Amino acid sequence: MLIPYLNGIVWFAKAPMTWLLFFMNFFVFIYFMNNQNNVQNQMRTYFEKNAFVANQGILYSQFIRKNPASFSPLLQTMSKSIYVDTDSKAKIMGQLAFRDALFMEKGTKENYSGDQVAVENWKDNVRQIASIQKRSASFQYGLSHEHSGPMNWLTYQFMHADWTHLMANMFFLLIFGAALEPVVGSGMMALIYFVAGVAAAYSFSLLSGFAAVPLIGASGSISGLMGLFAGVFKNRPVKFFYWLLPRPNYVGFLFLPAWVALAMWSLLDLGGLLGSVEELGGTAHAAHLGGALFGLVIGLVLFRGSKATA
Amino acid sequence: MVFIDETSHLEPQKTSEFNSPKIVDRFLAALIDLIFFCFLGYVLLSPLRRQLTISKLVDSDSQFINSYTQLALGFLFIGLIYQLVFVAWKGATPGKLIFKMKVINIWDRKKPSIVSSFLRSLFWWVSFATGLPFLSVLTNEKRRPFYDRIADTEVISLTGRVSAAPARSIVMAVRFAAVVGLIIGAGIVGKFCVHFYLHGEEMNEWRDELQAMSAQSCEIVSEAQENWPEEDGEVASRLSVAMALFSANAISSECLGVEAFRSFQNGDQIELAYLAKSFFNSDDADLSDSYLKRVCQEAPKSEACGFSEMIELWTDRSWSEATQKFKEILLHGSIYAKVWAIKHDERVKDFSSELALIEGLWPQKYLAEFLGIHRSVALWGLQRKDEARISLVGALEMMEPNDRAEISSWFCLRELADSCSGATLPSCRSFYDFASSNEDSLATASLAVTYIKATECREGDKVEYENLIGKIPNEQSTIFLRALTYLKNGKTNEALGIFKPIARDPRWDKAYRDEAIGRLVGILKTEEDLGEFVDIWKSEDSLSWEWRSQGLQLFQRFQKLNFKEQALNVGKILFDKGALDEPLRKNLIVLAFQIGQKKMAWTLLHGDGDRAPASLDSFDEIKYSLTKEFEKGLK
Repeated sequence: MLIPYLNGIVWFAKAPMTWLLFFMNFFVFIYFMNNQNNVQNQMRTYFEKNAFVANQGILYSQFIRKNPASFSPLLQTMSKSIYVDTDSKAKIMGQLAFRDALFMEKGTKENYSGDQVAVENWKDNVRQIASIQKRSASFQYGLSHEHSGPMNWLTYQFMHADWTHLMANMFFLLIFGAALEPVVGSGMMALIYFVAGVAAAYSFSLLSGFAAVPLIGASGSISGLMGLFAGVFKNRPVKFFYWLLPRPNYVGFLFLPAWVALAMWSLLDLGGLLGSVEELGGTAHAAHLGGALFGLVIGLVLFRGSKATA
Repeated sequence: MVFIDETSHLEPQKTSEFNSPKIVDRFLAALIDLIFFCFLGYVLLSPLRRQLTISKLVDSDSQFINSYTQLALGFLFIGLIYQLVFVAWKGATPGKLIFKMKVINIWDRKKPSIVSSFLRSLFWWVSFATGLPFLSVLTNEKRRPFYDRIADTEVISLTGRVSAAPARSIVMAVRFAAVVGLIIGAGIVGKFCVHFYLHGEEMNEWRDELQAMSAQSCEIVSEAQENWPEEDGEVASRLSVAMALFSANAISSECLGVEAFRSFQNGDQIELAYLAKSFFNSDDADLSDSYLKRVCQEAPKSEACGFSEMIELWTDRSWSEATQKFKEILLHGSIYAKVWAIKHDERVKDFSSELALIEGLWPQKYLAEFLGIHRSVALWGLQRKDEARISLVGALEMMEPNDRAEISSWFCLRELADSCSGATLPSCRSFYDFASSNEDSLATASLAVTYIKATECREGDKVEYENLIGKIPNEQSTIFLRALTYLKNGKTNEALGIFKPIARDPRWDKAYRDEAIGRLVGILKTEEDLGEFVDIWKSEDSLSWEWRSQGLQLFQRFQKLNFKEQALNVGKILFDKGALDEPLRKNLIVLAFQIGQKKMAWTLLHGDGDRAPASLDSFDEIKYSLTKEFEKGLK
């Protein structure tokens, strides 16, 4: 186990803006928790239906074959092989379809061949899902193809899918925010935090466009803080806590250059980005990288030669 | 612990000095290196990971094998380069640097050359892949695994945290463990090779079977279709075959779904495809109903439409109309309809018709298991119990263990209802053997009840219900067995306090509720107490064996307690449902006569064509008397 130990115990007085951001994220999560749970439970009933996802996959394949120009070669190939292929392949296609804004918007108005009961049933279900999504905070405040107004670029940063998502992000917010805030100032840190979030969302949209499912979470903004941290402190040794074995010589602290944390984080994201298939979605690696790059550039440019970083 | 200063260098040391790092440090260093190069592999090989995912998505075997091979080779290459570069450049990998260790050449005590580093890296990989050579760190006097010996290198500690030469006992223990491990490993590999050599053909079949079992391939449908009899004078369609196989539980619903999908794609037998989809979606009642409705919209005069109407009759429990409908459907000659007709006949207890249908399909290889089971049930229903038992033995042999347990439990429970001598019959033996060695299966209530009854019959008064509590992994059974323990210990009121709520509460599993009612009927003594369970009994499904069994118990109990009116009421209901056998029917007639219900006795007797002369038998005397009285009246 190896974790950065930047500012010792993070006191509120040392980093009020960091704590404010922490509590805002926390409050928003608690405030919408019931809404999120209800929506997730309602959605789950559809996803668990034996036929719904597979049917969606079959219809999605037909939709792709009718509109090939709007789809990647991979999706075109997949849509052809579903004819002779399996139910599980149909389910994979059905899962992919959820992300596809074009299909979710226009698919219900299309005519399909084959099993007409399945077609009608799918259209009914999609309409019901759409009405559930309208009540979902993640869809209202996250960044998606349908909701990409100026406010969503800010509000998406405060939405989290679940406790794990929130806690992981807040852990890094406290570590890096508390280390940076005394150096760059509270206002500047908050500004960079939010703009990094916008930059992260922009780089995400640049690579894959906004999907039908929303982009949510503070990880793009926190990646910005990581980038800023590396840009401000560069080679300065940073204290890391390590724990190898429960024995005296195997627990302690070691010092690594400030850029190491960003390098490892970004390499993981780069590996994730290069290794993932765009159509499958997953973690927003591009958003992380965009946020980190923004933070790094700001750190290198704005704080070059700053006394605080000397 | 800090990074070693890059400018630090090793002081030449005497070759005789033993300076091997602590073993735990070496393993931790290796672990850290492993994490590092996995991280590197994750990043550098990410395009190959992407290719691998794509190959799975587009189902390209060749692309998958290519990507997989490239990924494996790439990983090996990165591991090799990682070791080579760091050992040749820094004299240690990052893991070793963290733990302040160095790899040195044993001759000049300096950093190894590139050739030596390469050799060391290459054989380090061999060690990594097989695992065993690493163990020589524990056994070699100088703590040098074979890659160090091949490359003429040695790992030393710069901190003074060194380990001593291995103790003789440890060396022996590790070598012993290694030899045992090798023997076991060789044994496993050898056994596999021998098995492959001897049973290569079988293994291919097994692989084919696995493929066939996968819902997607539905190979069994293709195979069955080749050997399928004609339906209505024509070659049976693939979907029709799949419907028959699904109806007989020979294929999964997923397989049926795939066949229906094919039918839709080919535009072939669309109405049957809709019918198949209604089965496929049976867990979603509304959707399933939508499919059923669509069948007749598609082809109103088709067999599939008739079948969908029959399903509605079944759902409404309109048995006689369903029987009529089946007569129309069976004119078309589809085997799937016959399979359902067999189930229907069994449901309405028309065992003669069921047996005739089964004989008509016998022997159909792909339906053998289904036909075998239902033949046994039909013979049992026709009271041809010996033939049923023989038929059952054959059917059980064809079945999977879990199915076998369920069917043998079904028969065993019925055997034991007559007398405990049934416990030695094949169905009970087969069930008991399976359940004793697969106690998890007893979580199913019906199996647990049979197991309890079989154990009672086997052990008699010596049965220990407490022991059964440990064996049956089911919360309801624990409560049920506690009641039986009370009963055994003479605490009848406590037992009643448990059985009564079980019998009344629909949340309890039906098998326990039925059994609780059965036990209660044997205990309760007042007309009022028994009356409550008559009401429960009346509300149950009158076509089930359990209903008949409970009714007979109630009838006999009322008679025993001399509650003749109640006995007559229950007996009449049983008679009306055709659930009374000949001796009990006579019993009922005598009862009706005795309590002055002569008209009812005559009704019960009517249809009995046997005009035997008067005899010593009280029934015959009553019969003679009634005939005289009522036949005169009729004239």
